[in-house]
Amino acid sequence: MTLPHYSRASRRDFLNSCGSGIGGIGFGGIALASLLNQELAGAPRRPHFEAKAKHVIYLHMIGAPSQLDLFDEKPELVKRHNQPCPPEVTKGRDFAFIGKTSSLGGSPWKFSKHGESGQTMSELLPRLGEVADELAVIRSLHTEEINHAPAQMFLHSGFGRGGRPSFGSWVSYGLGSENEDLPSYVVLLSGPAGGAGTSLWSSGFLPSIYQGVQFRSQGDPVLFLSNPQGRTREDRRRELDVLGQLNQKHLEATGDPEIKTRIKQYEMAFRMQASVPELMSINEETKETLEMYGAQPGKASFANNCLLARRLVERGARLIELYDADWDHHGGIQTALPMMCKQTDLPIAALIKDLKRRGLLKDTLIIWGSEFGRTPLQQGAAKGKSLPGRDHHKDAFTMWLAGGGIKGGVSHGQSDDFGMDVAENGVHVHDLNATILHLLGMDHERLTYRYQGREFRLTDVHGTVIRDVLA
Amino acid sequence: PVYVEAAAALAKRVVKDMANESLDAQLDYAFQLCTARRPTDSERDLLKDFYRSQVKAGKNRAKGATKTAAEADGWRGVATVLLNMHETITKD
Repeated sequence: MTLPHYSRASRRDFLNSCGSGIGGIGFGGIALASLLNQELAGAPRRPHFEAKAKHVIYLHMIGAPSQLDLFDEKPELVKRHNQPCPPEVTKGRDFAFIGKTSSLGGSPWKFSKHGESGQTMSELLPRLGEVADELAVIRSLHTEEINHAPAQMFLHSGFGRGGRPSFGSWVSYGLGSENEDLPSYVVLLSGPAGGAGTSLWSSGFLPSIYQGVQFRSQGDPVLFLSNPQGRTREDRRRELDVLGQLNQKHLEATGDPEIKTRIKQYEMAFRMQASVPELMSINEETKETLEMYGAQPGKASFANNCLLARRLVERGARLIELYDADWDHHGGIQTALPMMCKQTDLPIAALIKDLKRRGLLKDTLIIWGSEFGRTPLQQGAAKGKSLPGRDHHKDAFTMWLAGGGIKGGVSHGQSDDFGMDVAENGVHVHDLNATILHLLGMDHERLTYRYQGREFRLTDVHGTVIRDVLA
Repeated sequence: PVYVEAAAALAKRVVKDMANESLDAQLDYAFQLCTARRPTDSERDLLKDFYRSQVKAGKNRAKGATKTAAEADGWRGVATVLLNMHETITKD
């Protein structure tokens, strides 16, 4: 029954429980977020400075879409299609699967300029083109990891292995929740989870109340959401009352803060039994809205998830992440990529338009991207496959931002003529994460949490806010 | 769901194993099965009150419900609570 000393209540936990009055006021805001009473984890908290965005919708295309076929036009590659790559271009680089002698691959798709800003996109994204002036496209992203799971971890937690909190957990930790009846960090999947699985929405060493909560897209959104047969809501309430008191006694005896989390989460689950079915009932949307997204009630799809993301924003969720599977086109890119774009292009454009017409886009930051990009080198071509693909590429890829606090119609950064490396204004994943926190009103250098003897940050000891994309 | 079924099984086991015992002894037994310790007096009181209100609710809900059925309902509630205690789950 004795807890090891490190999991007993720390001085910090003691201070937490000393009452909520001191929260954030006169102590430099949430740099001392950990001083806040955990009871207040649900309550909205004051950011470091004025936030430009209150909500984030993160669209993660698992596997890595080819930037060279969607956003980053490379005439040089088209010209040199099927030719060997000059050795100086691949010198010092590692690839996940292919050798350096693979031939270059030009994009088979046509690019054109869209909107007043003239954002370049390929013909695979006609609907996104319609909202080009809302987007800030960054074509100079680079990361540290070359394989899916580590790269997904790195993007989400600033670290290529497990154990660190995801950005969604950092955001919940920093800002709390606006809605007591729903989690502040919600995850929706279309297709299987990425290689790194549920650790991508893990709270790591932060209290587990900040963990992301996954909703299923089909059937009960949360397993066993309804009460078992013969059990009423009143029965459940009575059970939770006595359970809460028993757990409270245990908490007082041991001081383990995780018990607090459990009590709070049981209560949240009780409220979610009512709030989640309401949230998920997209059949109450107008026919026009459903068609706009291509959403179909009762089906599981990325389109439905985009619509749910908007409904979550309306209900105050802080961070909503949508994962879409099957973007890992090592082969057969010529048929696979258009298919994936067809499933996602319409709903993403609809999400931006819908948020805008409802006045929510100015408060909602949308991020589109993946754990890395794809190589200018072809994969599978040498073996005589009719439909080659591209390998993983970490040194130059594309992501875009839109909405809250973002300057629309901006292009930031460039890759070189081969799309192999950054040519101008490189943006490291840490810079991206620093920018996300900045838009939410937080200084990435001050949002810290003490663990195992030192302060930790989402951005480790790196990261610079990308001022060029800010409105 | 496994927790619902496990609670139903635990409830049945308590009623069967402790058929002729006092309510206090039955609660102690159930508590001990989950946590490997006896409840404190205040913990036992909490569970006792809860059990009684649950039995009462069971009687009110199904008119003419037998005493046994209402009591089974009460034990199902107690078992659900015990299995969901932080102490039962983490055994720390």
